Order: sequence, then C-alpha cells, then structure tokens
Amino acid sequence: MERIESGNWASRLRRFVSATEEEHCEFCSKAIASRHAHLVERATRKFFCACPQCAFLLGGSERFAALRARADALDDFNLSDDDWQGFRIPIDLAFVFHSTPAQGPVAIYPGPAGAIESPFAADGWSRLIAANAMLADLDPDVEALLVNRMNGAREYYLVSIDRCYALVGLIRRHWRGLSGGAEVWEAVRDYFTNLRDDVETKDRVHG
Amino acid sequence: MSGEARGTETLEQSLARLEKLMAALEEIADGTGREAARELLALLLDLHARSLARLSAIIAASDNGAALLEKIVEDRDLRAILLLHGLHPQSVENRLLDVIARMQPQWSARGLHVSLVSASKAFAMVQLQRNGVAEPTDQLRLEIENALTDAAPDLDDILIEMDMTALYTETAA
Repeated sequence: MERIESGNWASRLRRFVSATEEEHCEFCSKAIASRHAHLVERATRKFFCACPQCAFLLGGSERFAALRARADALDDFNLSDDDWQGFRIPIDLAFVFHSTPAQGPVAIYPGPAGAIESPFAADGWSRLIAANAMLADLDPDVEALLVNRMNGAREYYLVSIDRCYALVGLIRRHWRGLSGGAEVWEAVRDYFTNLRDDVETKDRVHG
Repeated sequence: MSGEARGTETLEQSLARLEKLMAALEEIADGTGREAARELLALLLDLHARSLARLSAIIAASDNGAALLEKIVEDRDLRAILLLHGLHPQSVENRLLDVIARMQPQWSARGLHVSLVSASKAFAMVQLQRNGVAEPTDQLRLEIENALTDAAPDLDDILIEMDMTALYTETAA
C-alpha cells in the first residue's frame, strides 16, 4: 500500500479548523474558556480538559489529579555526580516523578524512539528527598523533578508533568540516528531556554 | 493552480499543499481575514462531515453494507476522507492492531517486536522490544513510526516507547 507522506495530517487539519472553536469540559460538556484546567487520569496518564467545577470535584481524587502549571528552578539542589551515576540512567536528561499506579518513583528519559520508562530505585528517591526537602511536596502523577546534566550542566527543576511530555515529544520529533543529531540537541537547548524564561517571568510576577 | 492541474494532483500533493496553505494562513496578520478563512474551512468540512456520516450510516444499514464499507476504505482517497471525518469503520485500536499484525513478521525478522499498549481517540502508545541481538536500524524505527501514523493519521500523537537500556549500555561501554 502506498503511503501518505503527511504524518498525522487528519489530526492537524481538525485542530487547525477548531483552533477558535469553543472548548468543552470533557466531564460535563459545558463550554469552557480557552485557558482552563486539566486533569490527568493517573492510571492512563491521559489529559482531560475540565471546567472549574469538575476540576475541583475530581482533582486530587483516586482516579484523577489536577494539573497545575509549575516551573521552579532548584538552585541549591543536592546531587553528587556519584549519586547520579548510581541511578543508572543512561543519559544526562531525565524526569522523575512519583507514580501512583506504579506505587513508586518512575524515571522517564528520552531515547531514539521516544520515551523510555524505568522504575527509579526507591531508596535512591528517598535519599534524594532527604537531601532535597522540596521534593517531598511533589504532587504524585502530575509534578516531576526534571534533571538536565547535559554538557556539564547541573540544572534541576520542579515542573508540571505536561512540560516533561512536551520535552519527550520534542525529542522524538527531532531525533536522528543513534546519538540524536545536532538538530535534537538544539531543540532541547531551546526548550531549556524557554523553561528558564518562564521561571524568571514567574519569579518577577510573584516578586 | 489551474483547475486541470488540481484534477491530476495526487493525494500526497494535495495534502502537502493543504499543509502549506494552513501555514500561510497562520502567518496572515489580519486577524479578521484569518478567522473568516478558518471558519469557512470549518463550515465546509462540517457540511461534508454531516453528509458523509449519513451516507456511511445508509451504507452500513444496507445489505452487504459492512463489506461495501470495507471495499470503500481500500480506496486511498476515500479512506483519507473517512479518516478525516472520523468515519473509518474500524476503530483506531483495530487499525493499529491490523497494521502491526500485518507487518510484525517483517519487523520481527529485522530485530523489533511491536506491541500496542493503549489507544484512545487522540493518542496511542506503542512499545518496541528488541528481538534478538541485532541492533534495530533507524530506518526500521522510522518505518514502524510511518506505518503506524499512516494507519491512524487522525491521532494527535503516537508515543513510541522503546527499551533501549541495553543498547545504551553497549554504546557507552
């Protein structure tokens, strides 16, 4: 069968024409503002658009968690190179979060064909929390520690999980060959530049 | 483009042109014009969607309707339009399972086992496992991604997870 070389063209066309259409709460179907709340289904990690009421009623439940935009830089993060090596994550870029369905910490890092997920050693995670108290208040399933140690960087962020998936998606779109190629690392650099901008803008707003 | 050229344009060419025109429209500074064009396109699509939905329902309800629909989706142009309007008789999940079942022997022989983890209206997750010692080539990974996307161009994204830990360890060593 000949293939259509336009990827997910049907999805993109649909989104293009509906860009200004009213959005609806995926729970009660009520029309919602273009800036609205999102809930994450813990088991499937699916994102749902929600009206304020549904977000309030369902967020933080057993099945759903409310997603809150978060981007905090952790300037005094405590993690030695040896400890990092001990976590056995094969590349210097990863996010770690507490997964309710997995009943423990999970690491996700980018690779040639998308996200690679592996359980994160529970004792390693406890040590990280002990050395970095701010990790203790990470919201399970929706907030993650983002680690960037590429090219000598030692950057750590607390971010909402949507940003992590955005990074995974971006890497998948740009990855070429085994090592990724120049394009993907440029895209990753841009991602972190944007993230730092957001952190700074937010800090200015909130003093 | 003249009417004659449009008539001989392939589906690929039409979709590539569609893509360019959408990008050009996004670039228009005049917000009123941009939104009017978008609304016009949405309305036209909607009119077609409604009629095609009814047409599909009539076909499905007639004798041998299911077989006829199957024949209809074998036509590339028709399949594309049915997919666009969410009228493909097979669910996303079945389309992905079908393409995986069809291609698995080839992919497996070349080093990758493919399995569907989940499929929803907007998003599917697929897992790749190395099959044997051979290192899967980028070409093969791309081929798999393309085959899946072709079967479900109506999905926002197909997330492909791969257990490459062993490979990383090898390249690092």
